[in-house]
Amino acid sequence: MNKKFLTLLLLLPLKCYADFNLQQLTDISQSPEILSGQFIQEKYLAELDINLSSSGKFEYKKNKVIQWQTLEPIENLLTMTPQSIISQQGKQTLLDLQADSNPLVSLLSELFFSVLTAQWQDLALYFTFTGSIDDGCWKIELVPKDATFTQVINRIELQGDSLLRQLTFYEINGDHTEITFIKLSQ
Amino acid sequence: MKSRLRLLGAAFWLVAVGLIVLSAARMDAVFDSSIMSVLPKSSQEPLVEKAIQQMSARFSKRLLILLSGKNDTEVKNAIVHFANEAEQLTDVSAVRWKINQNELTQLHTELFPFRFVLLDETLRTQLRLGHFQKIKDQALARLFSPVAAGKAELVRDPFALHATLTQNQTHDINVQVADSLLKVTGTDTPTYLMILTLAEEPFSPKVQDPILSFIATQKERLKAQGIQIDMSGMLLHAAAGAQQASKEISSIGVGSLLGIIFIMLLVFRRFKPLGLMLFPIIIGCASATAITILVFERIHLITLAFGAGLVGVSIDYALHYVCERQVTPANNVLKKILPGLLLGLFSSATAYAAQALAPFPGLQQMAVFSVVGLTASWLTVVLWFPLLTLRDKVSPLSAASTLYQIRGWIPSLRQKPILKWLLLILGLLCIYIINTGAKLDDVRLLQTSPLSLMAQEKVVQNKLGTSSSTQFLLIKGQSLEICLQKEEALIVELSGLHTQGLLPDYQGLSKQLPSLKRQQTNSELVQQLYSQQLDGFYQQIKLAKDARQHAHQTLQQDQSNWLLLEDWLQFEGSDAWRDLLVSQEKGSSAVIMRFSRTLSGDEKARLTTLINDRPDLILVDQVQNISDLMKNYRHHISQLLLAAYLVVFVVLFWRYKSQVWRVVLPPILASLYTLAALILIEQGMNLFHLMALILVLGIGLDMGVFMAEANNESHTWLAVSLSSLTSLLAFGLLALSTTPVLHHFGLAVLIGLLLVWLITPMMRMDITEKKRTSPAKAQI
Repeated sequence: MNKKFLTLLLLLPLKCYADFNLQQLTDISQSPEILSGQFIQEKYLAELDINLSSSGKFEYKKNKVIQWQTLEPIENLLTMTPQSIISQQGKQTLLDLQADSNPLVSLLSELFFSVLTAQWQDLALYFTFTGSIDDGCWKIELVPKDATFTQVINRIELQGDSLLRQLTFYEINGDHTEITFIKLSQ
Repeated sequence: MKSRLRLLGAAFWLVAVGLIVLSAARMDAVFDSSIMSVLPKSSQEPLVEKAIQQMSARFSKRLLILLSGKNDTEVKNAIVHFANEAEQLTDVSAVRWKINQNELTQLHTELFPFRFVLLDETLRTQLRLGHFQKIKDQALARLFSPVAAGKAELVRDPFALHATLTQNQTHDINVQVADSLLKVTGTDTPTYLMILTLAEEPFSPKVQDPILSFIATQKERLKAQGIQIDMSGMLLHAAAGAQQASKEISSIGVGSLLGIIFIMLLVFRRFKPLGLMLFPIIIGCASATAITILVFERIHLITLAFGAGLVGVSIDYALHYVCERQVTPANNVLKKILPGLLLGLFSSATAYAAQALAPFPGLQQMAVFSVVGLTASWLTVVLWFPLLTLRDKVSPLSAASTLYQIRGWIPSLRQKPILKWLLLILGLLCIYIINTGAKLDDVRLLQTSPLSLMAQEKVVQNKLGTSSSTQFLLIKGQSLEICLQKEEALIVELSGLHTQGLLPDYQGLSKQLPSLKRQQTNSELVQQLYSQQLDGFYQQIKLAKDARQHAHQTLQQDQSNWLLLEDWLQFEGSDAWRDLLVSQEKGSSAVIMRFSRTLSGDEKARLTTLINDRPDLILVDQVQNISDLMKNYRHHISQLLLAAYLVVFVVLFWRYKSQVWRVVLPPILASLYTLAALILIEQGMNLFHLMALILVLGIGLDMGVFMAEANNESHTWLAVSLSSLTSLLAFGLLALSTTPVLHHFGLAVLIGLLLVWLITPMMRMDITEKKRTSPAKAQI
């Protein structure tokens, strides 16, 4: 066997793996300044083996604010900014968390921000990426490498084309939350 | 026969000193350097004492290290590297820099069984106000939130009591766990924390040196990588203080030593007098050290430093002898100057011995040291100098006549009567200034750290939101339970003040380990919540009925899971809070509440009023305690100085009758002028100024006595002038020091001795009168 061929063979799997890289993902997916739409959320609780469904609408301004409004089965408005998370029901404020006083929650909201607005470089700090890109559609899996996240999240699955269409958080306790986005408009 | 007797006496004396020194050397003497051991035995109760020790140990044995840089990954790698190497150090007992997965999980789960009795503060308030519906809505919102942290426990904890508690849990410092490392929150650049715990107290060079050299190497390496290192800990201050002091003492010390040698050679033009000066001082210091060790079984470095200074006064005796020897044959010297020497020793020793009356161990040691030292030097001069200078030739010194001429320029009171009034008015003015002037008893006088270190300390403390302050509230009670109940009641008042911005944030044990009484009320509140809201909650998420039953069952099971001290102490999370517990003994328990920063004057006053009539609450302020103590010391020393002058006055009056003012007034006036001047140039008068004045008193008295005894002869004036000059060089130069203690002492000596030297000639008899009494010597 010729030496060159052997080297090529050895390189091949590496090359395939390297086929997926952040740059390509960044090229395909958009990171719009403003986005709004509707969502359907399915939360699976392993302990009771039940699904909790909810739905509502959302809109975001990149790097500024996400308004996440659950309409069914309860009404709740979650306003997330890089500095705080405020949960409101009607006019009543249920929760007002400042990021600096609440590191874990603020990290999770930071994560949610990054995922929703396709800021892959930020995510790469905390997660390792695997996945595939096929004809403008992508499906990736994020596995946390940071202990802060590993205590909560097992992995995150994301699917999309130019925009994110579906995401699933897998928690370490077996629960998972699937969020599907529909009627997206920029 | 007489000379043989003399030889025997001298030999006997040296043997005696040798024996004393030898027996002291056989003792395992302790060299103290802690400032605390010169302070009087604490009058504080044992609980307060224990609390103080516990709080200061927190600061003294810990070294906080922050690494920060632009690139997060680089800083992370740096701290891992740093920590791994730090773990190899033998003087470091623990390095805390990461939290592993197990610890983290444990932190999050260990409190779960106690979720019904240990409640988040906000949630508890809502429960107490009966806002049950709101809590249910929060739980639902959390359940459907896309960013909820932690597992949804629909059966065991439907209202997420545990999740709310852990999520809002405060830390004693601003740190979060990031990638298993301790990341500081709220900083501009990525910053990570590492805590070294020392195996021993940080005051000995044995502990300091290896750690400091390790840090220096690391610092060098990190600097190349663009990573900054900030540190906080007693170790750094202890080391910096010692280093600066020793550096200054050696640089200033070498300077003054060279100066002294130069002057001695200039005056005597021979090396022998130099050796003669040193001999009695060495014997004096050696026997003083030995006797102090034999009496106290230990010797403090401060005693050694100041005591050696006071023994330095004994150079007076040597100089007086040597100068007199230049003009008097060997046989007559001692006969001539013995009365003066005796009076000089007696007055100085009395003045210094007065210090022994003070209730401060530091001053007692110093009294013994200086009296023994002076006496030993004196004996050495009297017994040995006649032998050592037996064959020296009589040869008057030209320096004596030059100096005598210079003295002539200083006007005497008899020549210029107006001078009397000037001195008097100035003296009264000074008394007024001293009485109304500022007194400084600030603990910062003891501060030996350079400013840059203090600044760095502040940076670290601010970033971490902690304080090295030793202010805290001590809560006492018959049992730990009672202490915790008292603390909970007090927190209601404190939180009111805190929300109004009138008090800084505080930390208390009851927030981590509530009293059983509080746990019971919490459990009852949760039972109400369940009975009112659980059904509605489950209906809204359409959960099966058996889940509801399960939920009620687990409440039944866990509602009486009381959190006890024994369990809490086992917790991973209790580590940072354990030092808030002082004692849990029956009958005398105590806990500590500490503040997130040093209290301002107003805040302290507010707190003092709040706890005013409650003897079980004590606001402890160690900085204030030390300042108070220094004030006490200052009072005692000023009283002792006055007493010393009084005794000396009585003794000298017996010899000089109406002429006694010539001897006593110069040091008194010089002291008054010096103090007033110090009040005007520095921020106020302090303890170390007064210590210096004791030295001025000793030299001033000797000067007056010798001059009076020797009828103002030129060689006596040379002797006392040289003695002032050497003391000036030895101690006055310390005024250049940046270490506050040394600076204050040095400056006071400098001004005081100069003034004594100027004022003493003013008190002399008229020149013509003197020429008549001893014309031969005046011509020299």
